[in-house]
Amino acid sequence: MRLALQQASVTVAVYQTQESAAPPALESQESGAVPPPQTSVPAPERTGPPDTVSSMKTGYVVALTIFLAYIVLLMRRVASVRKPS
Amino acid sequence: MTTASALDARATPVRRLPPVDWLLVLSALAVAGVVARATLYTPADAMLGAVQRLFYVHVPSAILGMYVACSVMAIAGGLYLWIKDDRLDRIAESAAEVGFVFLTVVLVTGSIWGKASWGTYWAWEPRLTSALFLWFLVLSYLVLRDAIENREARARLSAVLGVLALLLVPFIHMTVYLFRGLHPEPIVLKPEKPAMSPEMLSTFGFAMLAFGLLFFAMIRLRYQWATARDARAELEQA
Repeated sequence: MRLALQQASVTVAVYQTQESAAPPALESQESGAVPPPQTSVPAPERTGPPDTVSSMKTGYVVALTIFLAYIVLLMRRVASVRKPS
Repeated sequence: MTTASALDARATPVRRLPPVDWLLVLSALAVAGVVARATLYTPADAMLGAVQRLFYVHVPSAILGMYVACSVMAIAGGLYLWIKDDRLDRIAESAAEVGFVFLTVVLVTGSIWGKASWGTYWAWEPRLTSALFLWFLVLSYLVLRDAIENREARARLSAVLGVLALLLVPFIHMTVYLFRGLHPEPIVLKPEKPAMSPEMLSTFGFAMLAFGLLFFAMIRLRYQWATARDARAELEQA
C-alpha cells in the first residue's frame, strides 16, 4: 500500500515538473503566437588553422626579453671589471 | 719578469675588452632580421597556425643550448681535468651560463607553444620532464661554481658535474622515440630530410645562423669577462 502511494506521488511529481517546464511552449502553440526570431547565429564551421597569433607574439617577446636581459647583465659585468678599484 | 711588467701583463685582459662588442651587435641585428622574416614573411603551419613560427626560436635555442652548449661545457671540463688549464675552465663556465639562457628560452617558448597546441603550459611527459631536469642540472652547475671559493676545487668539481650533465643529452633526444608523450619527434635532427616547405626550411637556416652567431658572441664576451675578472682578482691579491 505504502509502495503504491510512493509510486503515485512520484508520478505526480514528474507530471508537475513536466508541466511547469512546458507551459511557455504550450502557450505559444495554443495562442498561435509567432515564436521570437532566432537571434543567435550558429558558429560557422572552423576552416583553416586556429588563431594563435597572440601566442606567437608572446613567445617571441618573452624569448627576446630573456636574451636582452642576459646581454644587459654581461654589459654590466664588463663595465664593473673595467672600473678602476 | 719585474713586478711592474707582471702586473701590466695581468691587466691586459681588462684593457682588451672592447668598448662595443661588434659581434654581439651584428648577431642582435641578425636575430632581429630572423624574427621579422619568421613572423612576417614565412607561411604559417596549416594545422597549428601562427604559433608554429615559434619553431624558429625554439628549435635553434634547443640545438644550441642543449647539444652545443652542454657538449662544450663537458668537453672543456673534461679536458680541464686532464690538462688543468684555467682557460678550459673559463670556456666551460661560459658555455654553461649561455647554455642556461638558451635552455630557459627553450622551456618558455615550448610552454607557450604547448598552451596553444595542447591546451596546457606544462605536462609531465618524458621530453619536457627530462629537459627540465637538464635545466636544473645546469643551474646546479652554476650554483656550485658560485658556492666554492677555491678556484682549483671549483673548476674540478664543476667539470665533473658538466661531464655528467652531457650524459643526459642523448637520453633527452631519444625520449620521443622511447616513450609515448605529447612532444613530437624531431623535424630537423633526424636521419631523413627535414619535413618542411622550402620557405620554412630557409627561414630555419637563417635562424640557426643568427642564433648561432648570438650564441658565439655571448660565449666570447662571457669568456673575455671571466678572463678579465680572474686577472683582476690576481692583481688584487698580488
